[in-house]
Amino acid sequence: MKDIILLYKNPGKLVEKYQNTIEIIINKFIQSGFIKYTDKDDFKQDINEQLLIKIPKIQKQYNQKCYLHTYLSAIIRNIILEKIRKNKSFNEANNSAVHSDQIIYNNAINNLTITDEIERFRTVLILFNKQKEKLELCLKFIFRLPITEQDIFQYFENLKKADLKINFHKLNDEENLTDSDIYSILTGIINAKENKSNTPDAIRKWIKSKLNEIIGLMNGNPKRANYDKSSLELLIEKYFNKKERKISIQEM
Amino acid sequence: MSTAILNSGFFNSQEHLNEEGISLYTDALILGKKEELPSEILDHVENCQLCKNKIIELYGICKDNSLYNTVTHPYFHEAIKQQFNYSILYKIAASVLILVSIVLITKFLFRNQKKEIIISEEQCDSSSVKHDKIISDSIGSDQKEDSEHDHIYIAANFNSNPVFESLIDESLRSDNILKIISPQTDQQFSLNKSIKFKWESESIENLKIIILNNRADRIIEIEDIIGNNATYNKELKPGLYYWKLESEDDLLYLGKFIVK
Repeated sequence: MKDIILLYKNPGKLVEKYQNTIEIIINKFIQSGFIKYTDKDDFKQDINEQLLIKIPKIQKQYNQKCYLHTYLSAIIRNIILEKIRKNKSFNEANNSAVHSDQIIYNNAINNLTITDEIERFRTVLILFNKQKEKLELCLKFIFRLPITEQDIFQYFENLKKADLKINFHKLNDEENLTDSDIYSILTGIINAKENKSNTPDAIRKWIKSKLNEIIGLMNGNPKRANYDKSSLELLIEKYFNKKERKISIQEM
Repeated sequence: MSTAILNSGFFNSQEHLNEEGISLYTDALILGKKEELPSEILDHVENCQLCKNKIIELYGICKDNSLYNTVTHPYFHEAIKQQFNYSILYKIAASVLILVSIVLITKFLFRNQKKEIIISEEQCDSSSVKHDKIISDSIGSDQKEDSEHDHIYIAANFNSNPVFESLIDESLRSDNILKIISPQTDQQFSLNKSIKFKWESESIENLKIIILNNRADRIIEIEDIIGNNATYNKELKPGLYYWKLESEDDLLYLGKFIVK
């Protein structure tokens, strides 16, 4: 029987059917260090009880606009977070900062984790929606990653090639290029695209606020990692390397 | 934030995405259909770190589930189906329009001929009643064609919702404490006619009525109902509607009615 029918006709059966999903979500929290493995069964029992209590509310509020599986996963996640808060496990969870540092700096050991982190960063950028291309260009500029014509055209689609008066040799000359030069060039491109007259300082502030937001999103709430500007820079470098490799493979 | 956005069913009272909004965005990321999301959701998330964080965490939990490749999505599938239906509808409507124009022109010419005949009959002292009848027949026929034309547009609004259908008349928690008087299942209402909701119950208070269309979009919520009845006076478009009667904690009843 379809899950949605079970939701109304036989909620007990639905909860029974979701045992595997509950287990997967608990395991994610165990992997992140928020739940001790020994507490697993306790969490499982609590989630089942809470889900059954919440069924009438779910019946009322679920409007069939998303997968019921996703919706219930969100509810299960909320139940776990609530229990973690109640158990005052946050102090233990904060110890995961050490673990997260390892995620970033021991990257050679665990390529799988790095892939997950790059995937998370990619998702973070997607959520910036219309600002994504602008943000990608800014990140490349401020972290002094190699800039190509393609980077500019990806952000500024309608720019004519003749109007692209950028000396890429100078732009990628790390030794002689100052921060002031970088913001000045970037501001010129952004103002041309957005038809505005921002100052380099305004652009610098915008980038700083977005960078803080990205760091916050990479660290998560509750905190799952311990990114700062320099560890994020390493990840961004890997993200663009991977992205460019992907593009060049597709072009072959 | 506008009332329309808040009533879209994707936002909570704090003007952030609710669980369904967060889940829909997560589904969109997994299915690669972000561009098909409503603009109010995209714009909100673009500027809201709290919602971004919830989506990322949920995406991390759900992204590896194989279900997403096999089961039809209730929102995106519907959106695609609607686009498809509309394109066909437009083509049909255009064809009907051309046909109607041809028929109207033919009738107009034919009617003029008839008028001439009747006038000549009148001149011959025939009854003028006959003339009136032909004119009114002609008008009646035109209205019928217009009506058929409209019906093509609104036909999709009468398709039944399979999930709701499976729950209609099913036993809910309220069976022993609530008896629905009106509207009865499939009761039909004329356009512009108010819809009266009435039930018998002794113990339940503070009820809420939610009217949904056949695509499960919330049309209206009538809250804080006092007594055992409520009336909806505003106009509903022709179509099939479902209605929920809810208490603070439970869904008490799911019914349906038709507006024609």
